[in-house]
Amino acid sequence: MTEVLAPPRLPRILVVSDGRTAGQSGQAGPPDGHPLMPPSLDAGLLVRDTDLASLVALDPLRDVPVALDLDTIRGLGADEAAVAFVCDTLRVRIVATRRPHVAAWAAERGAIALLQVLAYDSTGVARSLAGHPGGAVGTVVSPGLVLARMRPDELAALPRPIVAWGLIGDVDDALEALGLADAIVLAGQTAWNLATALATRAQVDAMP
Amino acid sequence: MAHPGSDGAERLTRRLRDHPCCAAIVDDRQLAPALASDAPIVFVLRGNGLDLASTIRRIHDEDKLVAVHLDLVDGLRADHAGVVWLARLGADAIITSHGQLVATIRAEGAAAIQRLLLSRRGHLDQALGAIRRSRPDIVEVLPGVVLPAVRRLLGDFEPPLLAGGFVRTAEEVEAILAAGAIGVTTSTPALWSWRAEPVPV
Repeated sequence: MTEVLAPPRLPRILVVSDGRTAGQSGQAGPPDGHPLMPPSLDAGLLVRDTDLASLVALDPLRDVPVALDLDTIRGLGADEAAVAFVCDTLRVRIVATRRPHVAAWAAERGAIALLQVLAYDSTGVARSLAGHPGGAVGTVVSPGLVLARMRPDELAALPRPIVAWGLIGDVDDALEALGLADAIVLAGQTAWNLATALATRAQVDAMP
Repeated sequence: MAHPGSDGAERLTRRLRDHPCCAAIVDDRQLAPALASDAPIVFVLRGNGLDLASTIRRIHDEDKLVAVHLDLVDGLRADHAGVVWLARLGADAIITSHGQLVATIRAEGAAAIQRLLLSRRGHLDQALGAIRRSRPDIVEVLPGVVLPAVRRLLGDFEPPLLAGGFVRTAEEVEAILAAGAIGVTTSTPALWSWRAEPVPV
């Protein structure tokens, strides 16, 4: 009998990891003794900057949503066989890539596929979107911090779901980006700061 | 060691003191409004790099300087010969993301503007290292609108900073200048004649 996979789900927070160590290389991980992802957040893992063997070894983490920055996996190609391996064999359900055709292949295999758009200026975004496959393919906007500075018409032109990734360094930035994006990418420490801030806010709201 | 700078860079920075907003244009239709504005420098970001002579002449005729983006204009390769071509057309500054071309740009008498593309914090150290090695005259930070939020991540930074990308309001210009930039590049015509309010004495 063929196993039926649940539809993919995009968590609101993706915490960056190389799949082996906590946090992203060069960035603050979670506080000492804490897991990478705060349990109070709707969070998943964004795996990047790792190699194929480490990616295959990620299976025990499958109880949390896993997204993959496919272009940064050493040893992994950028062809249809690689996409099939990631989506069908490893069952990664969220795939980000800079390559429109790779994103389209991932979408065809039922993944939440995301095309990375470098948002350095409005002209560059327009050019990137001209090559966007659209349809079921969403968008990663980098740096995510710029999302709040884009005009409503520019935001409306971005195929959803939208993931904001890059330079979201504090809680205010994160909350602002969450108000516009379907998901945001954070370093472990920032995710914990966000969880703490939201818990504090909830406590304040609950006060009589 | 102080940043060496160049005559070309000094000309650019001097022009920005009164009018810090540069006109970034991507097609010929934007040239006339840019020339009619107070923008001291026109950044040519698109177009046919092989056919820019008349555009550069028109900009110079209005007593403005011109910076051309070597990586983005059509018809040119971002290499030594491409730099020489633009410099001999009269470009006062050449913009590139290729640090290895900085020395050639300066040797040709133009100011070298290297782009610092901000996408993720994890990429920043590598990008800053490249700029420290290439030592451009000016660094253009993109997207410039986030410069006030990320300035502290850049640390001590020797070359003068320009900021471009998603800069659309006077408030954003003020915040960018307050963050230490010497100027802004923008495709928003309403900002091309912007100038800071003089501080009362």
